[in-house]
Amino acid sequence: MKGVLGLFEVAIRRGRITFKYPKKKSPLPEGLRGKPEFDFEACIGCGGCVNACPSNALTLTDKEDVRVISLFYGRCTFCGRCEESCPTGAITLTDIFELASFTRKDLETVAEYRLAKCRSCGNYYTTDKCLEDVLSAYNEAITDYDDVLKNTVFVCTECKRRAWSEKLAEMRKEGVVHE
Amino acid sequence: MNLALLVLNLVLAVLLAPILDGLRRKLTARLQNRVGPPILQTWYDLLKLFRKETLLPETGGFLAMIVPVTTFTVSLSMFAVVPTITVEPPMEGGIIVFIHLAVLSAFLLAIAGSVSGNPYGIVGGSREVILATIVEPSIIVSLTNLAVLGRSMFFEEITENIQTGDLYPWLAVAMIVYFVCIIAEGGRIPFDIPEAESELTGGPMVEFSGKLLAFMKLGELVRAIALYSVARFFVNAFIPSYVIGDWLSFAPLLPYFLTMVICTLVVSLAESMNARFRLFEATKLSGYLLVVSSVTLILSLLTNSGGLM
Amino acid sequence: MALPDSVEQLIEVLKGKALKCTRIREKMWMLEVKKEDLPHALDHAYNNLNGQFMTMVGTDDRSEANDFLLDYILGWHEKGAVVIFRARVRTEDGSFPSITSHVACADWYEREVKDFLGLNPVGHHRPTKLFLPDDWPEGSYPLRRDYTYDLRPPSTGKEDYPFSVLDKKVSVIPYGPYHFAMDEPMHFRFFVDGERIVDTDFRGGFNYRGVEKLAEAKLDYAKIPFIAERICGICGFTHSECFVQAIEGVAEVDIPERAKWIRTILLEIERVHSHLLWLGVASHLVGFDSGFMQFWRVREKIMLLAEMLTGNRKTYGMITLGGVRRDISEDKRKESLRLISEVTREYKELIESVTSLQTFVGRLKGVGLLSKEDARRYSVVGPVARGSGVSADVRRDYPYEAYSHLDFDIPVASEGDVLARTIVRAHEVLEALSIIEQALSSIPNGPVQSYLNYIPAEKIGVGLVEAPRGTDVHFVITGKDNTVYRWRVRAPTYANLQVARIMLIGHTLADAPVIIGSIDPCISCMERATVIDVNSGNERTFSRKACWQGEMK
Repeated sequence: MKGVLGLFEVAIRRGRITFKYPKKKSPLPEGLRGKPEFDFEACIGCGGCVNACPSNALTLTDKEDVRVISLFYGRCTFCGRCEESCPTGAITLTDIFELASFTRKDLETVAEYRLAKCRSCGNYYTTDKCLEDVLSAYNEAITDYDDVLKNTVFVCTECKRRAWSEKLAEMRKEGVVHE
Repeated sequence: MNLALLVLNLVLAVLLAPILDGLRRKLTARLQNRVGPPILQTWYDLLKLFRKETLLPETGGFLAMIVPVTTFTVSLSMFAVVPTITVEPPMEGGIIVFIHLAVLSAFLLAIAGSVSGNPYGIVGGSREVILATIVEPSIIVSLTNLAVLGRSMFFEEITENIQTGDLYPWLAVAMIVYFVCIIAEGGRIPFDIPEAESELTGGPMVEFSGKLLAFMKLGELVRAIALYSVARFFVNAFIPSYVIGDWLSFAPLLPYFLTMVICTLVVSLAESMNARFRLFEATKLSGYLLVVSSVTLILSLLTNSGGLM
Repeated sequence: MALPDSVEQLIEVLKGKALKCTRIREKMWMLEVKKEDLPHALDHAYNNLNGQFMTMVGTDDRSEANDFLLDYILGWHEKGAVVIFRARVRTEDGSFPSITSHVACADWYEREVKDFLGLNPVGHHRPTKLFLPDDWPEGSYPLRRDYTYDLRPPSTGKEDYPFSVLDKKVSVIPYGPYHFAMDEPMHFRFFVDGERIVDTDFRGGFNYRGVEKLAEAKLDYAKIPFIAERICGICGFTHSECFVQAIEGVAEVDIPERAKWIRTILLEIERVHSHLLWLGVASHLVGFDSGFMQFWRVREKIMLLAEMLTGNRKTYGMITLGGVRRDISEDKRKESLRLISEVTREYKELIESVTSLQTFVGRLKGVGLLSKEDARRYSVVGPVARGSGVSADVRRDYPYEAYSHLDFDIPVASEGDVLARTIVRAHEVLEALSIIEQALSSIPNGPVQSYLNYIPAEKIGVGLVEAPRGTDVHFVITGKDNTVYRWRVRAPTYANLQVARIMLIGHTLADAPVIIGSIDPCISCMERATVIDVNSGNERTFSRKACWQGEMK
């Protein structure tokens, strides 16, 4: 129908569209990207999510023997890259989107992890939980299990590099490996 | 002069104006498929404004404080001469004083706009003056219809004289013209020109805040319902005398509030079904209104060649 | 001179003036010209051969080659070809010849290069600041490589911007940067005589945010789509799609079919929601609030559709290099088809009643005229061009994603007024709804992501996408380690806002908001960089210096 009568008809036919929020809430679809939440048991403190976050909402600081991973919702863009990159599924996006608050502190989630010492040089290199996670994936039927662990898992990257380059130099001197 | 009635009228006007505005907002919302704000919302807004800080424009000076309160006072004083729930008004003044006060309040709005030198205010003020100038003649002519047929310029005598049962069909046309003029004088879409929000950021009221803004808004609302109150006489003219007789004694408040609600409904319908006019379009429409209402006046004069007294 | 039949011939014709011609990839060429030959070559290409001026990019290349690069990108939409004219400006030289006298629309691009790189356009008729605030110190050029992204130079304290001054006796009405009718801050100055607008002046830069600099300094290819999406609040998905298209062009990778179709669906969803938003805003600007409410009511269903498919009503976050991040399951596909048919029905009944409302249509008719010649001369894009009779649409001329498989019309009107643009947008909504329905019905199965192995450095990529407002152009020079060396975003409003002045002169103040609104200005898209928050313009209120001090604390 045309003109004013048409508008009238539309107005009457469609009824009331708005409702009294927040007493009544609208239904949310599944897969809504709401705020990300930590599952602190599953998180191993690897920092993969920190690497993936485009807006620096997730930050990682190593202080002495403690690793602090902090998520600040004020910067979060709810993109979901942290969820995609987490190896243990510890950070997931919920469907909570009402995040207004009076204090900044409400918007920060902080997780602290104990760091482990490298058995060769003594520096802190990774978290205890990371080590547990890696160890749980090793098959105990490997020969030289303890030896392998001592050289690969319980030392930091720098020491591993140094050890390998020394071994390589030795092997070259002995003629086992050529230039 | 009836002091008790005067106080009653003024208090009723101030209390009722925002409520009717809230009703208008609710009706407009329902026509737009929305739930709309509660009917008391305009009261909440005004009370909030009264509590807010009042910032005066630097260039306004003393006048910036005086003009809003004056606008409110002048609009409210219209209720000294217009009857609300009774038949006779608190003070004798009739149509002439009423029209003068209506025009004065329109011009005060223009002065308010120019007080601070803000270009938006000045343009809005000049638009208000133009609009008032072209719409007032139609109001005067349609009210003169009533005066001619009622053989008096005073409201209580008009009511009495028209009650005698004669029906004047062209009065319906005058009534329609008057309703359109109500929309124009009240500054509602499609005649929202002086305060066009999206073009002029509020027009004449742009520099006021806090209590001053509350007074200006209240003045505007009170002026609108003063115009509605006079529309009651048109409505009365169409209800035959036996009904009026019983009506007035049975439920004396009913005609008044019914007219108010009808007027609000008319304004709300016009607001939700139209876009804003530009000035030349409004001028053209006012020209038509003037012509039509003049024709009705001529018919009234012909019927009642006894004159105004 | 007649237009050559093939782009090869085109290159032949222009090569006489070029130092070197390389073919970057299919339908994209680069011509290196000497700085002095620029006006002549571009004049020939733009005026005689009818190229469209797409964008101009200035890059600081002093670390590699001790000079600045200037790239002018022109497109020929009949052939679907893009030609980049590159000139080098030596560091000690610091200036380049302005082409504005031949190519009128290069006005703002040259001022931007002057603002951000410090190169002086010699012969420009009015080289005032475009985006930098009035009190920015001289010698501080943000897009140079030695300027770190979080540097905040101190204010000079002076707030003088040379607005144009008319010698006639007119009153000046400021429009913005704070105004109820504008969604975003911009400043127009109207010189009015009574109610009639005699001239206007424009000042932008209030929404400038530092996106390009940030991307160069801190982000990699995987993260830039997310910041690209936040350039604009309405057409963000188009920007991320455009960037990804540019990079995928460089990598020359073929993304899976299903990903292309999903991207197409989302692009069209964005077009529908943007046009419905605009129709509502245009109704509000002429005072027709019921139209505003009704159009946005229909738009709610589209937002629900977007939320269901992508997880968010805006900022879909769906694009990644090599495909999309989420798939559309069968249930969602059926639900989407149902929602689209509902929206189509409601929209048709609404548009029929609104466009026959005389008070509404009367406000739009005959205002804001833009002739076809002016549209061509200033290279306007999008519905503004199509409303003036120029039939140009990137979806048809430079086909991308799945558009070559879909059947749709390009609505064109010829009157050139606001009503023509409204009608074009109204038809585009129907076309977009039909595209979404076709795409959802016949989307192919398959994976939605493919892996990109290696993106070589120092390559040029150009992304072209039809945003709701026109042609969106992203120019990328890739860098080492998955970063960008230079990223330039040219939003459609950048080209369109330059003709606002032509459209406004001669009309009344009452028509000004709807004329500016009919360009559908998206100021956030247009201004993309500077780390500092600015506030300038309204000379009657508090001093900006006071504001600035507040900022610094």
